[in-house]
Formats: sequence, C-alpha cells, structure tokens
Amino acid sequence: MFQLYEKKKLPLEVRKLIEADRCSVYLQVPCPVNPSGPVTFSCPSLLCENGSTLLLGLEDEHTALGRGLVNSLWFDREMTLWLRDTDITYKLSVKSLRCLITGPVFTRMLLRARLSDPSAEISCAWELLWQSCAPTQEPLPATLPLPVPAAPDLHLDNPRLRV
Amino acid sequence: MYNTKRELLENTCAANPDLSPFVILKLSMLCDGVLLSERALDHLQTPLYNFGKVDSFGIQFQGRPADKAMPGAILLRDASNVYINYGEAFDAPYLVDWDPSREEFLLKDGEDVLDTVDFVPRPAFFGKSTSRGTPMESLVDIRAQKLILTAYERCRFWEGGHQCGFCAFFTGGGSHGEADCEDIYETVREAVREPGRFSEIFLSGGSDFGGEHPFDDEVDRYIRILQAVGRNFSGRFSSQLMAPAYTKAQLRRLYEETGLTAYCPNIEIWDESLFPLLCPGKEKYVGRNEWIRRTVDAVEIFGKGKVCTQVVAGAELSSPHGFKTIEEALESNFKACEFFARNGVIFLSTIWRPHRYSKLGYQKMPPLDYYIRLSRGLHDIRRAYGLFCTNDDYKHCGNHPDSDLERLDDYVSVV
Repeated sequence: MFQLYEKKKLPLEVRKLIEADRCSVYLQVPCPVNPSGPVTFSCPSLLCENGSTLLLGLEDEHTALGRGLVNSLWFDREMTLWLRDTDITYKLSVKSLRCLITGPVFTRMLLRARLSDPSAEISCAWELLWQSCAPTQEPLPATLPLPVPAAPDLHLDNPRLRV
Repeated sequence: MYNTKRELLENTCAANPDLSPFVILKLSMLCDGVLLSERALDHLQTPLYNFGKVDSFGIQFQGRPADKAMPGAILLRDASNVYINYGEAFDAPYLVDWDPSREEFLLKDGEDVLDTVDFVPRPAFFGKSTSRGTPMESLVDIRAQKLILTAYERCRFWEGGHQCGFCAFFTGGGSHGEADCEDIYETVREAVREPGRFSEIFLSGGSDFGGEHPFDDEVDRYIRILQAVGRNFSGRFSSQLMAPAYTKAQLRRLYEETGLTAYCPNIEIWDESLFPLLCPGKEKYVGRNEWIRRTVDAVEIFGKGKVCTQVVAGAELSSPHGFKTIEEALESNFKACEFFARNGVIFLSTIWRPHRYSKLGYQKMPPLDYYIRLSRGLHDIRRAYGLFCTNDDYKHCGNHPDSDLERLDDYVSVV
C-alpha cells in the first residue's frame, strides 16, 4: 500500500499457456473467515493482458474466494497461482492489484463470460500482480470448487431482469 | 500532528492494522479534499471520463473552471468510490495528476506518489436526448454501478427556512422541478443498454409535503416515476428510494404498486435535542419520534436489511449546537445504530462535507480519527446483528465507508 506497483512481462511460455486457454487454473487465497487461512480454488480461465496483467472474473465477491482476493488487496497478502498443463505445472506468487466493477476491462471480462450464456454475470474483475514464476513438481494442495453464489448479483441489463 | 499525508496514512494504518487501508485513505481524502492537476483535468476531458457540466443535485461550486467538464467520482484500486466536491476550497488537499508514461492517474501529496486511482467512466447514454429533447444526463447522477434519478429538483423544506442545516442541494439555481415520466423511462431504457454498467437504481428528490396527508403528492410522484422505470423490467429491480419517513399506508402503496426493493428515510441526526435544530422541516412535518417509529415499521413491508437510515456524520459535532466532544457524538451514533439494528434497520453514515450555502455554512470537519472509529463501530454493531448491505454496499452505492468494511465478512452464512 502507498507505493506504485510495477508490472513486468510474464515468461513467454507462461503467456502462451494462458492465451491458449489449455491449462487448469488454481488460486490459493488468504481467506479471512469461514474458512480462515489459505484455501485453494479451482478457477475459471485466467486472462493475460498486455503480456503482464493477469485478469480473473468473479461471479460473486460474497464467497470465500472473494474474501480472499479482498484480503490480499487490502493487506498486501500473497497468493499462489498454479497453471497446470499436461506436462508441466507453473507456480506463481501473486497479489491482488486492483478490483474492477466498471470500465473497459471489466466490460470485456463480462462480455467474455456472456459468450456462451447471455445471462451470465461477473460481479467484479480482478487484476493480479505476479511476482515470481517457476515450474514446480510439488503436488497441488487440496482444492475446492468455485463457490456458487447464494443469490445472483444481476446487472440491470441482464436478460433475466428485462422485459 | 503529521508533516505529510504519507506519515498520516502509514501511522493511521499501523494503529488500525485490522482496518482496510483503502477505507482509511477514502476517509482522509473526504476530509482533506482532492484537487485535480491541469494535466489530469485535461485528460478527464476525453470521452471515457467527460461527465459534462450538469449536476442533477444542483449544488453550486465556485471553483470549477468554466471551460472544463468535471469527472465522476474517484475510484480507488479496490473499486471503492470517493465522492469529491470538485471546485471546493480545500485547506490541504490531495492531488490527482495524470502520468502519460504510465497512462494512469496518480494520487499524490505534493511530489510524493501515494497510489494510482481511476475515475468512474462516462456512461454510454450521456450525450443522448429523450424524445422530448431533454438531455438524458441532466436527469441523473452516476456512480460506478449506481444510476441516480432525481424526481423533484426542489425541496419545499426551504420554504420558510425549514431546510436541513447541512443541505446545499438545489442552491445552484436552474431547477427543472418535477421529472417527466416518459423522460425517465427512456433514459433508464438507454442506460441499461450498456452491458454491466449499472446494478442499482436510486431515486430521490427534494421533499414535498403537499397533499391530503403530508407527502401524499410526493408519494404519488415517486410511484409514477418508479412505474416508468419499471416498464424496462419484467419484475422487481434492485432499487432504493431515499425519501421522508412515510406512513405504512404510503409505504404499502410504494411497495405494491412498483418494483422498488429498498427504502431509506434518513434520520440525519439521532440526538433528540439536535434533530429539531438541524432538521426543522422533518421535525415540523413528521417529528423525530414518529420518524423513528415509521422507519422501524417499514421493515414489515420491505423486509429486514432492506430499510436503511443514514446520518450525516460530523454534523452532530457542528457549531453552535452540536456535541462538544467526539466521545459524545460516537456514543449517540452507536446508540442509534444499536437501536435500529435490533429492529432490522441498517443505520449507515455518510460524511458531512460543509458547504457555504447551507445554513451551517462552512465549518471545520471532525478529525479523521472520529470517522475511523465511527465506521468501525457501525460496521461491528451491524455485523453482530447479522445486518449486511445489499443496496448500500461498496458496489451498489459506494457512499458509506462503514459498509465498505463488509467485504471481508462472511455475508451469506450469517444472513
């Protein structure tokens, strides 16, 4: 906090992996409560923008994953991202950099979510700042599926609300 | 006490390690104000940020350059909203500058860069007019996800000098009176064409006590407008009406005849002796105790957590009649919050920004520490009662530092 964060380019092989959308993505976040402590989630696909910014769309922030992302942003807490391809797994140290609820990047993430389902939603989009990246042989920690929102947080243009 | 804002912020965060530093920063920016550098203001004239020159709340500000449009609210990196009265005279403001090499706005204290910020983007429907020729942006105000409609650009409490002491709404002149329903329908229809742009509709206006019973005319007006909004939706839509404390019969009409989901009759000031002094119009046409009773009764119609009431935090410490100490003010507000929470009502704070055209005039604001303790206390009390904001959280509203704190709470399993 109270500093400028510098983004750097991801290694080319990692960028290609993300851009090809062929890896499984797992994110371990520092959950503040229920549960408390590091929790790993299987995430929807990640985006890489400009070769350096990692973007994640979140359907609902009122979940353990959402709380973990906020916790990382507010208190500069580290998270771990795993990108698992058939033959290789990369482990990245990341932090939440920015939460977006409006603007061109948020809109792009929302439209991406709505490609297959026009009534799909994301509540917010997250920019992650990566700090280190290396292949790993370590086994993945136990993961939880992505939390399902209790009540959908619909934007007013959502077809489910419209005439 | 501190020589720089960095010292202030870092020490305050260290003293409150469990509190979001973004809430601390937001409160500090609200207290000290923000200036826009010429470079920043120039970049804010670009289509992404240019909000034009209309202010639907009609507040007059003297320090705004005539040839430049003002932007929307500032967005911090955690998406929280900082609503600045651009053009006010601030004593020791922050500075927002534009860095062309980073292509980002920088929040600074002199030359010291504290963080990057952004601004609420201009909505796609700005620049369009209704079929009656009304510029759509003249009917609304905008936050990141909130579409604010003003039903009535007058407040009749000003007749006879009964306006709330802190209020400067509609002092800019040029009031449009009552909004046209067809204009509202078309504006909302256009606004919600933009994917993911809005998740909340907020309706308010100046108070109008006319009618067979006080506020009957106003209730009729709000119903007409909400029905016009509702033509765009198949059922209820996330929305809040900020209005006086109505009778149950009036509220029942509002709920049953429209798609409204939440209601907010602002108490403004809790203290029994201060209320009639700072809100003489509300005292005259409803009365404090009746206002409180009606607010609690509204839960029966809208449901627990769907009725809110707000205080103008800091006005309770204003001269000449306000509390003399911060402790007294905190005690009063926490007592109010506890009472309302017990009755299923969400009690929130908004930050008082003194204005020269209000009855209270320009006064020094309470210190940052007051607002930090207030935000923390209100959040803690509501959480203990399982009350969390839906319509007034950081995303659907953005005007309440205390509700910003809810983002770490286990919201779903408690409610």
